Amino acid sequence: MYLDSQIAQLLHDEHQRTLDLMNRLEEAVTGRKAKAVPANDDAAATALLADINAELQATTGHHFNFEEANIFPALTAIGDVAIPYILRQEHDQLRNLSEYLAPIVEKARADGFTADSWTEFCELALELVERQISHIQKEEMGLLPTLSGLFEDDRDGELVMLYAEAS
Amino acid sequence: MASGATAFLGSATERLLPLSLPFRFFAAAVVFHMVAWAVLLLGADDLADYTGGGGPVLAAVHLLTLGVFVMTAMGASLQLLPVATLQGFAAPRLIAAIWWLFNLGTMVLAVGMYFFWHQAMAAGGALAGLAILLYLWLLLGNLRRGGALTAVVAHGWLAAAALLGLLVLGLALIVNQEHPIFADAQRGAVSHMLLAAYGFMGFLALGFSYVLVPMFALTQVPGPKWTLASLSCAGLGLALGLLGVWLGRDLWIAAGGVVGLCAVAIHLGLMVQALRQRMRKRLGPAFILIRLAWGLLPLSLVLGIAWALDLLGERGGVSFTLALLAWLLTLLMAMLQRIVPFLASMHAAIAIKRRPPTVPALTAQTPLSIHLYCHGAAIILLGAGIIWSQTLIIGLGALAGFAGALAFAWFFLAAVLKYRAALASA
Repeated sequence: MYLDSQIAQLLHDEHQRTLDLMNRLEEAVTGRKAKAVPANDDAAATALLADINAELQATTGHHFNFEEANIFPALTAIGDVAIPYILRQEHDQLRNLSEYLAPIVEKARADGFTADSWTEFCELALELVERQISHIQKEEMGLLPTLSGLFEDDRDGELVMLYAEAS
Repeated sequence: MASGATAFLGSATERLLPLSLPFRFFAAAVVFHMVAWAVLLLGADDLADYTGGGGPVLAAVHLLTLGVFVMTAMGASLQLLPVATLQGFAAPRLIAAIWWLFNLGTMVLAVGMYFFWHQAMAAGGALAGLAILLYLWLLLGNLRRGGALTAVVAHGWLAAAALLGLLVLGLALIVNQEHPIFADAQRGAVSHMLLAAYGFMGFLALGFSYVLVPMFALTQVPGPKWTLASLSCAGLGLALGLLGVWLGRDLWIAAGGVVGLCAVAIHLGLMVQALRQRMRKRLGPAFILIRLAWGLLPLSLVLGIAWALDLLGERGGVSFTLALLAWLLTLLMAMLQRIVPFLASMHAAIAIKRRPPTVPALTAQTPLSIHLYCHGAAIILLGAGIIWSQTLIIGLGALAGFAGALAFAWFFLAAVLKYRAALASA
């Protein structure tokens, strides 16, 4: 995908990475695979849990905080109030969901899943997938295209540096 | 993404109508869907050799076209167009009045058609016609202000013109029964059908597909260059087809069909390209129906061309009409099963700040799976029944369609109840 703004392109690449993870997660917790609790030595499940853990602990939070601190105020300044309002609300919902899911993921990484914790994980994971995809859908269609022309080239470059430094 | 898409989701929440407004249109469409299949079951005897005239087949077709297609199109366009054009419909009472008038008109018209009772047809046609005129007034008011989504707006203009044309022809066909105005009523009826299916519904279906399919699959909205090329071909093809029908030139009709196939090839090419670039891997069962509809659309044109060239024998007209109606019904059922929970979840997100229900949480999959199988079986059985002129097979097809419609009603009711439960527990 080609976007005029460097920061829009960076956020889009982040979305693509998150979606790849969400697609993997959805694959793991739906269909026939999801009927059996993964074994403790299941390499694919272990890798997925590590990636989910990283996503819940830092990556998404960084992405959300960056948008709230640097992108939304710029949109609000040009009179676009609706998009920041909706997206900020969805950030809060995703943060809230992450708070429920993170301890389950941490416990599963340490001790493996039980039948009950696997069921709970599947339910919360599916909700996370749905909310993340719905949120990214809004950002891809409603936010990123507005960033083209919103920032001067210098500021656009600064934002990319700022994002990289905070990662 | 195309710049027009920028505002689509961003402004969607701001321009949401009260949920009861689009949902009353969808609810009516769900009910008419069941009634249409039931009436077709009653008229299974007449379907294979149907060439026109009053009775259960004509009533079933209009319950489907007016009750399901136009009803869904009204509900969806009244919600989606303001988002596409960035202009609001500040007329909830008028929209509610349109719903009442159109429901009453469709019911009276269908009863009149079933019993071939001219007065009821005239009264029903007048009521439905008035509702359509009021809807057109709202539609044109919204379209003339333009908007960000050029392709959707351009399709909307042609759809509005076709709606006016089909309304005039439809009313003239009713008048023609008592006071002949057409030298050949059959030509008027075919033109009315072409304007309704390829014109009004077709233009709206193609136009909204450019926004809804990318939104559901999380992919790029096709640019205006090729979408407008497809629209130009579609408009030219329809004009050629209509002219051919009016002048009795079969080759012109066939040429119109070929140009229409070019429009469809561009449209489907854009859709396939969009899906290949999608960011969401799982598309869900609705896309099985969408792909089926994408197959039925060119099939309808091929059958239409063959019928015009007299290559299909006596049942050419019925076969063509089946493919045409099956395309629209399949596409609309696919879109409705995504739009209903999507709209409900957006409304829920306004009312419930912490954890509003997600789209899957508002979607009952079991009835949708039942609907998918029954709908597919209904189309296959009706097609086979028409080809072999077997009333029993046609009856089984209508029965399968009715079962599918019941399952779809179950899905709709479940979505409404889940939405209400989420609001109550918040």
